[in-house]
Amino acid sequence: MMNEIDSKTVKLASAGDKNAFRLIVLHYAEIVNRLAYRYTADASQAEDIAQETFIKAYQAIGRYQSQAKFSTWLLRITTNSAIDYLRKANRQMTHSLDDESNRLDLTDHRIAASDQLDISQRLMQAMAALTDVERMAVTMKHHQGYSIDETAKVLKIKNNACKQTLFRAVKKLRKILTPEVSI
Amino acid sequence: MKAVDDEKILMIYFNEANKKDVDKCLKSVACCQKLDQLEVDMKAIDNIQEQHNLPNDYGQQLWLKIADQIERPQDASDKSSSDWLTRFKQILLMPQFSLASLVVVMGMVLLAFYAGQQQNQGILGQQTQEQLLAQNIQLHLSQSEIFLTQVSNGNSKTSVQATAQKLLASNRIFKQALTQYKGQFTSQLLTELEPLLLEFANGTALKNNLRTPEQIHGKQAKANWVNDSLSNDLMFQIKAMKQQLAQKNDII
Repeated sequence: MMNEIDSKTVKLASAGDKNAFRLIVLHYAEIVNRLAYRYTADASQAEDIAQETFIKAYQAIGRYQSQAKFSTWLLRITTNSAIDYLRKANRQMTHSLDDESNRLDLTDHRIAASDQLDISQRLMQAMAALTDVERMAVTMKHHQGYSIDETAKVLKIKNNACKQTLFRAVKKLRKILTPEVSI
Repeated sequence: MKAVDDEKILMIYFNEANKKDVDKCLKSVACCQKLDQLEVDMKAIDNIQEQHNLPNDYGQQLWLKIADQIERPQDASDKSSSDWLTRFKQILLMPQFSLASLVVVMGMVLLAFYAGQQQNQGILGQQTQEQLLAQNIQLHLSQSEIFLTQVSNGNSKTSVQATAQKLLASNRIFKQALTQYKGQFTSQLLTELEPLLLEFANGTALKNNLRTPEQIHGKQAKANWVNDSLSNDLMFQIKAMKQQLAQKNDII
């Protein structure tokens, strides 16, 4: 359960109090960075996204509706910032899903070459080797609890394509854990 | 197990499968085992992300990086306008632009001065015109008063017609000039004076043995028509108007 910041600080920040917003940054910086890291599997990119998230949040905090949890609102901005960042960074998000089957072979090869690494390290490598769409789909669905519909909508793909993407991503990751697994 | 079944198991795990598929899976031991294994694997996948280490003061570091960048859209517009003014001031203070800026400022000052002067002149001109007209009408009324007194007393018979013609012409000009002003009393008096002057200008009054206006209108002939009540009224009006114009110095 995420520890929410008090609503008074949020109200002050909404009114333009920079010091109150500083408290929000201190409170949520780590959570935002970790989510960005899940989306990108890259510390540097995660840092950029975290910065972008808080800059956008400050600009939009006046529109924040207190009915929703502040963390939910902030992590939604993080997700959107990550998608924007990845689209600008490498255009992988715009690639056809057909291309992703080719990437699977590459991923498998990388994992096979690093047998000596422990499971966690290999899983991290596998995560990094996923396509941006796969990583985003797994993170949004598995970690953030988005529905398939929401995930597909945010990623701008069809529901069935989203399910396929999720299935493919989980299959790649599970190969590290249980090489004999059928899934 | 076929791939399509694996997809269904994943959807069951993600709580996205329909009830029929869930019930079918829960009845199968193999399917349940797969579901359990999937849950274990997904937890392991979840845990790998926790290895992303961040410094203890990461929040503070992040704040220091973005503190100078954060601004509201409104702040940005304010800043942009203030930036524009600052840049403009800086340009004016630059040596290569200082002379040009001085010329521009001087030009603006002169323009403002000229515009203000023109405005004042317009106002003063209008007031002066009204004052001049009032003074001229005052003079005209004095002359008319003297003329009417003379003709009523039977004096200066030779130049009566010529004087009356001049006064009539002046009277008409002043009447025309008064149409531009709000004051109606002066104009009304000149209107009443005009028929009388016209009679003398045409010589009608003289041919009728110096008939006064009251005689023309069938009233009793008198040596001094000024003694008549109506004539007295006109003379009184002329005198009163002269005084009013002298006191107020503008058109009433």
